[in-house]
Amino acid sequence: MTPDLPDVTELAIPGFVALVLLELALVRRTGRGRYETRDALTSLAMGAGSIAEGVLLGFLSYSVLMVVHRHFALWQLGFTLPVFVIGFLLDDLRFYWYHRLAHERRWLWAAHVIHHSSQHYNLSTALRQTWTGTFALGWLVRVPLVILGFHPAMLVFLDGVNLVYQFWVHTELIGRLPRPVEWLFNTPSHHRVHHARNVRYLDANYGGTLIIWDRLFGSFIPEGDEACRYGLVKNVATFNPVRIALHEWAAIARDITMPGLTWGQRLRYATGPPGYSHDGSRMTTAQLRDAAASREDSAINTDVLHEV
Amino acid sequence: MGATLDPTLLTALVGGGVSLVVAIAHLTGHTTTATIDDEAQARALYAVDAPDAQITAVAVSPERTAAVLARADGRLGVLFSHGDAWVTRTVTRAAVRGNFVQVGTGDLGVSTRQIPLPADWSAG
Repeated sequence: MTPDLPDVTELAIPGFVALVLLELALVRRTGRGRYETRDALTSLAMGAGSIAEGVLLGFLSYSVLMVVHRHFALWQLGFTLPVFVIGFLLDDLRFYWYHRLAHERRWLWAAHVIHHSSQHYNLSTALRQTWTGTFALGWLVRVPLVILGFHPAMLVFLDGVNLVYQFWVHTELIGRLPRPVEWLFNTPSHHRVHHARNVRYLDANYGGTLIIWDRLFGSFIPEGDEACRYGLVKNVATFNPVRIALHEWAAIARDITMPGLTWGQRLRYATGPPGYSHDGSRMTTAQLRDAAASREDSAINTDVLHEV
Repeated sequence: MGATLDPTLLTALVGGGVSLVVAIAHLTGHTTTATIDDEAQARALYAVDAPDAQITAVAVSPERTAAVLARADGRLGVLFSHGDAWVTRTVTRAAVRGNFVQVGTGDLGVSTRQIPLPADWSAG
């Protein structure tokens, strides 16, 4: 029998509100961190819309996962405590790969970009969530866990726990934590890097609860002396939640319908890395890094010439 | 699927929470618009997004919330406030409409920003 697991994200809403208010008070008192009213309103509206999307459309992805569970699951692992613990670890690994793909593949990025569209980094930013997650199909990354025998209800519950964990890391008020914590867990320091648009910090620290996945798969970048600048490589100029929710989808539609492209180019505009362009008019993260490295090299060469 | 809150309670929690946070943020002075101190700051802000651009001229708008930067490659850099933050765009001369540079934003109520060019703007 399937236990009636709570939706922890919804239950956490009063806590989210209380902690945002506490952070607002601490920002005012300490001068650390930033809030802007319209930005916070947009983030909260995006969060409300995301909850609505989950209520209205969540059954679609859940139904597909239930079909997979009934017909293709290798085992029925049930709902015992060890299964919850192992499930949490594996679902955190699942989150890492989903999240990494959401930054490296434009189709998933179009849904996830919403979360990175604020130039602020505070607890309200944590609530700036997508409205198009069901449509983007990122939830398919859960299929292997369902085939292994984890019940979809457990995975939805564990994902909620993971999202609630990630709420508190969206703050500039907390510096670095003790070394063992920073080594094992996703922390405010690690996640600031994830939200930064400085070229050196792009596409890093995808971990949800644990940061060890980034250390394991080579995507970990520690927070250095360079202060994080938050937002997107090309920032949005709007507080309109509908525009923010849909702007990258609209951009994909514009790109893939450009005249004169090959089918391969159209496919890469939809599923290639963000920043891909057939004519070199935009830059991917790898290209931005190369350009920054070239600038640094030429700056070093100039310094050497001055010294000579 | 997991049990959800009663829809009325959920709506009240979300609506009440959003209203409370926004009201307190506004009343504690967090509704702000960024302004540019001088041309050097405009250049520095634009350089964050376009570090390789050679800037030949800068015009800061009278209310100091936007600037137009002439680039050596013939295009124009545009910098404008977005709340207390900044947004940059690089546009062609086709964006010049008389004495303004016009940039689409898609924002509520201000779907385009028109940044005035000074009368003596020679880079255009």
